[in-house]
Amino acid sequence: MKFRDGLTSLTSITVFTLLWELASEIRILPATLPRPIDVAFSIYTLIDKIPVHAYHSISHFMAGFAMALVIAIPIGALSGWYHLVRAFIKPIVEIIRPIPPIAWIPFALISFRNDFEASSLIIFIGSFFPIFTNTFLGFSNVPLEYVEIAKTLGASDLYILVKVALPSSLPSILSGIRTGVGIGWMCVVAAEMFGPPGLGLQIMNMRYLHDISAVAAYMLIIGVIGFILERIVRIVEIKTLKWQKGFIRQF
Amino acid sequence: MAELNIVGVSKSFNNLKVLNNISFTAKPGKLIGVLGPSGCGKTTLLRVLSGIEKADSGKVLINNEAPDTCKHKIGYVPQSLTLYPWRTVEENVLFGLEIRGTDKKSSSELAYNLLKAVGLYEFKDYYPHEISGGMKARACLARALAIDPDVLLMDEPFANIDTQTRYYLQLEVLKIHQKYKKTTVFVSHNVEEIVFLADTVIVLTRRPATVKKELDLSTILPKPRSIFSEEFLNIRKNLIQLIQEEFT
Repeated sequence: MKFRDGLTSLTSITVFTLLWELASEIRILPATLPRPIDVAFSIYTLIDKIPVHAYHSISHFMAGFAMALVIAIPIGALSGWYHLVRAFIKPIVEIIRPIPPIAWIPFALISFRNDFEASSLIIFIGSFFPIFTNTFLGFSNVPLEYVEIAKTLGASDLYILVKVALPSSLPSILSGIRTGVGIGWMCVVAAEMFGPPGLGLQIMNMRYLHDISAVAAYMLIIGVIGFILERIVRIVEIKTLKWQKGFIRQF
Repeated sequence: MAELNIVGVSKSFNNLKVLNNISFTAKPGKLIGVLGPSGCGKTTLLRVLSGIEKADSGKVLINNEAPDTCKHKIGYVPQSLTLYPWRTVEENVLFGLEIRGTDKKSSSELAYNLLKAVGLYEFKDYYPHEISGGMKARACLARALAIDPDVLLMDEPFANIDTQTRYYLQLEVLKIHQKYKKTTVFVSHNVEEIVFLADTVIVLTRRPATVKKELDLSTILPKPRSIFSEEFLNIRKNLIQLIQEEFT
């Protein structure tokens, strides 16, 4: 079954590429659009540079995303669990949340002289909110029964928080992490367009060279890396949530 | 074995009076069946006994002390038969021991005995969503027994279980009660179930609930009981009439 699914995916990508190539060949698509064969050639010529730029982008991403995990999960958990923390944290979060990550770029570039820190901040902003919100929702929706059973068995409040509320919220937290990875990775590219080295900057550089195939090549690389990052989270989800009803089937 | 005393317990939610001056005693090792019309406050009574809810007035005493989940061990089988979905059957059963920091070796030995006793040993590594309602009831019972409770509280545990399975579970409860001799309060709206299981029946009035009648069955209907015997049917009839009075 898995093999057949893989084969289907491979076929769909091949068919899409061939149709595109064909559409370019018979001039349905404007000549200014890159052809798949040109993009492939660009990737071939850039093959030694791509890993370097990808490395920059991934390290920006990892720094910002790790920070978001470390901060969003505890704060989300505590404000989902304790009314007082919620009342304190919520107004701050609600005001900062609507500010789009892209609006933070000038702020970050001025506040941090260091490009690495600046772009990590943008990613942090992008990943933080989905992780925070989903962790918050997970902890505030723990069924009362779960808590009461632990109480009758003599569990302390801290024990309930760690051993009952946390596992009960885990599906929600993980789906927040998955969304956070997606948004964070999109923010990497946006952040890098304005200075820090990485795949985003390369897209801008290639634009100045009017090399559309190279622009498309870098776009494709960004897509593939984003896809892989999300898959990794998905695998972690499947490994940790194997107890959930019907979970595997969603994959 | 503990004695459970309920002395003049009353409980209201906002302006809704649910429990009104309820008093009865559960003698050590006895199974008390609490019977009452639907919605009369049976669940609230158990929640007060377990310490989840505090009584507005009156006292609950376990061996003459106020119940305290740290000091006393209260086994609670909820009506919803809730198990933690992220834990296997065995891990659910052992949760109470984990809380109390019992060492691995003695708890796995206990798990083996309990899971054997409730007939779930083959399913110990299953997750709750993979087992049937009857098995969930058994798992909840094993979880409550695992902490070696002073008092066992069962809140209509078989309400959502089909009649056939329910019959086997009732036999199981009797068997386990005989084996472990826990002071038990079993709440139900099912008259037959209560007459089959209880040493003493407490009949509650409609809300606000108070004790309408206390009936000692241990002498007039010795165990094992047949649900077809004349005495059984007579008692069942009398109790149904008592409850029906509450609706008129």
